[in-house]
Amino acid sequence: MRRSLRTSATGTVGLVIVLAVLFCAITADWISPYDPLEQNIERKLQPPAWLKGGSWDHPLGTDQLGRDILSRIIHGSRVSMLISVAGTAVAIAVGVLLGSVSGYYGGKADAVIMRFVDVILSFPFILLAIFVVAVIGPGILNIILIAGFTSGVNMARIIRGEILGVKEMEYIEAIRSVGARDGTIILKHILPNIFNVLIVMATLEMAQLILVESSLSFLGLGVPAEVPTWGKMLSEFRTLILSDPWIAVFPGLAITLTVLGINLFGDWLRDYLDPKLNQTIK
Amino acid sequence: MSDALLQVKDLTVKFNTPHGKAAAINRLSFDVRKGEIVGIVGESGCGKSLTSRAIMGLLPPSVAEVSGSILFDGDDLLRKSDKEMRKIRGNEISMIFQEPMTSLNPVYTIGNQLMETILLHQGVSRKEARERAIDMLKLVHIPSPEKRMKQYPHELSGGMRQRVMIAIALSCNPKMLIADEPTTALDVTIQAEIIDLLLELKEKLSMSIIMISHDLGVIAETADRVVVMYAGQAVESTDIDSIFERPLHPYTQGLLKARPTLEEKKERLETIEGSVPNSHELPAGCKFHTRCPFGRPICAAREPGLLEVNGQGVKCWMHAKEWNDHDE
Repeated sequence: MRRSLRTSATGTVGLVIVLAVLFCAITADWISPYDPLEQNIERKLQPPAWLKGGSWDHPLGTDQLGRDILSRIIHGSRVSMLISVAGTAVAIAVGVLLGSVSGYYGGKADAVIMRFVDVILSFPFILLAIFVVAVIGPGILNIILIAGFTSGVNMARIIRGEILGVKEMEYIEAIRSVGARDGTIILKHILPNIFNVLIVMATLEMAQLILVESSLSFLGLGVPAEVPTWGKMLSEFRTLILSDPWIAVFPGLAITLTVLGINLFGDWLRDYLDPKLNQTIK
Repeated sequence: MSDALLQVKDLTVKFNTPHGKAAAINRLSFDVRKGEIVGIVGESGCGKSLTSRAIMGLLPPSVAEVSGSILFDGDDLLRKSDKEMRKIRGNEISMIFQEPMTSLNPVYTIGNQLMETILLHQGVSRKEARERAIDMLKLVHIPSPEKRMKQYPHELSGGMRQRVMIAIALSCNPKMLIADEPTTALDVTIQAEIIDLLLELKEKLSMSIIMISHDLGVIAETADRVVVMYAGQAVESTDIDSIFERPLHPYTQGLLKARPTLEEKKERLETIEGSVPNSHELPAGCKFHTRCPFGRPICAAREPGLLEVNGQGVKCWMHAKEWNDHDE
């Protein structure tokens, strides 16, 4: 018997949050009350409904151009989720590929890959991002690739270390002694044993990428100006924080809750996938 | 020796060390006949396990330099490609390991791991593989095999895990099994059960076994012939009775004396002075002369060859005619 979600309250909370954000991202066009780009300068900087001067027309208030904040947050989930999920996928793919070749085969391949990792890590990420965007242009896909790739290179080092540990286990020698090929050994026997590390890295990475998107968008290197994203909202509202302190709370809250949800879910997933924690006393 | 299944000839394994190339196994030769159990004994670090890895082709070529020849059914394993070796491993030659606690992958069920080897070599459907896996579990006397198939390694005891390892190793009917200290990590009663099981399966499946152990008791119970290894060389090789009745090499004699017996009560067990020298600082001449109670100048000067004395092979000057020529 595997430990089901029902027995883990935190896992359930995490899953609910992640599903809710995904739901927003998919159905943004139908569920948001206003067009996120619609400006109404007469109603600018309205506080949320429950504060003095707020109204339920705009439950979370409006920004400096009178755009509905709730609608913008719902639409912002699209870019944030896309970048964080796709970027993490790229990162894990790059990290696993480089890390397992490096860790499993060792020798020259290891030396070459690890020096390459050193080179990439010695660049400040933002500088690298500016360089790449200058060469191939801004855009969501480019952000996903550059952020995913640099994080993947970073992960490769950790994955390599984990693989070095698992590679020496006797069960790996045992599976080699029955004639399994290298690819099978890496994919089927080593990777599942470092799954807990991958899960932890992936959840941290998803959270990290939401923030990366916001800093790149802030610098104008990210998504086109008209597309609402949480990170961009946060950086726009930063200047208003003294006059209207509530305004930056909502995109910040959206980021925090999503990151929390991903982490809680990842935590549960790690336990769920570990056979040793699934013992039931019969 | 036409009935030899495995002929190891002049097997040498060298490692690159900061002190230069060190031979961890030095011109080791021995044979295993069909249906025979050959024991390899020796202290820690004498190259027992290394020999098994060399036969299986599991030593990374970037680190270890293997030379000599290992003829298995007439084919030299050292000349086989990686791909050819993969077909042999698990199918023709299998291996079981010292640590049953860590020899099974913790993230897969017993059934999954058993079926993997069968699917790898036998080209059968999953259903057939499953049936064969259950049969194997029955063969190694694991009770309620259907239930065990779904269990994870941590749910099994050490003895059970070693049985599963044996089941995996034998699932493709190999001609030879290399058992690398199969009972060392188990307690004595389980040891006896595993040894009985191995002997029983050897008869049933008519295979040869190389039994590697530092425990002369285990060797005495199982082996037909014994190779005594010291510092990467075979110092004595003979049949099982002679080794206990008439050990010829001083090292073998030392090993036998260092073992507790029921007949005599001793306050302290005898020991062999010193320890196995590092492979990069082996002495000239006989490798054992620094620890040998009978050492003479000739031992330090020249390395003895493998002599045949009454059908026993022994690598010691004591049994050569030069021994008395150099009498001081």
